[in-house]
Amino acid sequence: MRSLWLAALIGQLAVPGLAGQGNASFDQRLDPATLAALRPILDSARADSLPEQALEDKTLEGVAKHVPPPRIIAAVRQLAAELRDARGLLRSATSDVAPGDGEIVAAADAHRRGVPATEISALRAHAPRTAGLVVAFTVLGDLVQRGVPAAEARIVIEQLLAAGVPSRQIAEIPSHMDVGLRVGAPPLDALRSALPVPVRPLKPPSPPPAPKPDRTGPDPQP
Amino acid sequence: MRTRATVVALAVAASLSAPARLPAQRWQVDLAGNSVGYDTAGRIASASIAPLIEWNQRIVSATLSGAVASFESNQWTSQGHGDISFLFAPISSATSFRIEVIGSADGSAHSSGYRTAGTRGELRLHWTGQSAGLWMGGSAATGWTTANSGIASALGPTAGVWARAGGWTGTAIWGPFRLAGQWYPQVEGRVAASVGPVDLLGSVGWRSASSSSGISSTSWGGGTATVWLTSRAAVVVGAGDYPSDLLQALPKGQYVSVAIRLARNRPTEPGKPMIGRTLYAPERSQSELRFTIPGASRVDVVGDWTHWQPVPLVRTADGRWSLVLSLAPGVHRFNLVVDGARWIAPDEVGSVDDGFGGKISLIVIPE
Repeated sequence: MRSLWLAALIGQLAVPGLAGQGNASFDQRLDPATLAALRPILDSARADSLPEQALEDKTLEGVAKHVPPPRIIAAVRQLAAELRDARGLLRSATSDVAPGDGEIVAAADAHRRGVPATEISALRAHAPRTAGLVVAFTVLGDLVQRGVPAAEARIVIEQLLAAGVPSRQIAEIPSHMDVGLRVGAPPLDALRSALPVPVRPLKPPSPPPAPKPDRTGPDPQP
Repeated sequence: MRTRATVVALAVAASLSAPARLPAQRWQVDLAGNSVGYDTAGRIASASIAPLIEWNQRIVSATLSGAVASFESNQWTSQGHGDISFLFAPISSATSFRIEVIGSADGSAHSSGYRTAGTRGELRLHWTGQSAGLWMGGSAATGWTTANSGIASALGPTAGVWARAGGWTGTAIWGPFRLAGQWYPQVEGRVAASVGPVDLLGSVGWRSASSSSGISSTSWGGGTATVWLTSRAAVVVGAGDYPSDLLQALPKGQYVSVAIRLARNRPTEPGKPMIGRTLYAPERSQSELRFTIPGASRVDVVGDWTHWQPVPLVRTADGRWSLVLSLAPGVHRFNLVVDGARWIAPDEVGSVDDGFGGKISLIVIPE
């Protein structure tokens, strides 16, 4: 028990200590030319209320990896564009919920991992308004990387959120799914066996019928 | 954002035990010096080169390997082997059960003109648990040599059991077969382990033969130690004996071998997951990530919570690398740096393109 208290204490002390380094540390780790090139991107992001911390992290990641400054600048500019796009998707999906920084970053990650933009906005639009979607977007990316069609993965997550399944259980789905994948189950079967609660049959929605030039007759049977 | 100290126990590699398949190719080449003693031809020293290519996908894996050995008086021998395995989960709701279909073919040629060839097929029903599994099935094999006019064939049941504990994997196989009207009961045991930079493999076996077959009962055993000097180079030392091949009429032999192995990478442990998953640290009292990184003498974590400065991981008694976490809610990114130079996104963890031509791993702490 004492060790747990000690670990918690160290955690509380250590992280604020690092956070306290703030922008001074950021500036000191960049050469002046790179900093000057990045400053407009970061200022623009701050003015636009984008997750600035994610951009600073990308910069420091590049520095740590000894990436040439032009590539760092390009990567940060690209990430800013992705975050802006992701936020646009979330805002277009619902106007009454302001996306948090974490959700914007997670949505951008999901898009980068192969989740189509339509599924990202659909998840925001259909998920309960009060649900934080950091875990949901991340798991969506996990499932798509495992071969689950994006639409089905999104529908499953929507149903789990609607059923009130805790984010902790949703986040455990990919690892449970791996058990099935390791023994050769198709992705959808592996996903089905990994779900903490039953969901509706995993079938992609039928595509809308093609518009017909003549709509004078009765609607076709479904 | 308020920081919460979360300490969570996640044993990434240890909890995954079923034999896994990584969707990646692997190759290796062994350059060896050997001394082989045959019951029929005395002891022979040879130099050999033995390439191997392995291809793994989710339900299919295949291996092609070969060896060419040169020995005294300009004599040589060559061998080739290929196998392919398919895995199916027959019941989608019970993925612990799988059907395995395994086929292999091999052959050999000698400078004297002697040739052999053989095939083998096996069908198994395999149950895999978290740390143990068992299978049963049947096999059929054929063999041909230039010394015999016909093709010999053998049939028999197979069964086996395996278990993993603390990085050690033990396997016992029962595989009697019927050849030319005679039954040959056969059992074999194998133990494999990775201890730091060393991969160990040992095996023993026993095959019985009735007196009417004219063939002696036999036992065999041997061991191999592969010491990885880097992630791509190793010294392989092996010794032991192997049984005669009744289908291809190859004699029993005793061997001592020392090889330099050049490889694309060290073989992955069988317990590793096939796809990285995003790590998730629920709110519990302790958070520990453990990674298996063969051949590493130092591993650092570099992530957003370290402000992209290296923080060393601690090596555990089982040879893995441990990191205790205390993270704020949100999505966090990190890489591991092996021996101060090689940046990796560990296989166990989900990753995204880092924008710099590599990958970066993700970990999620919920709000």
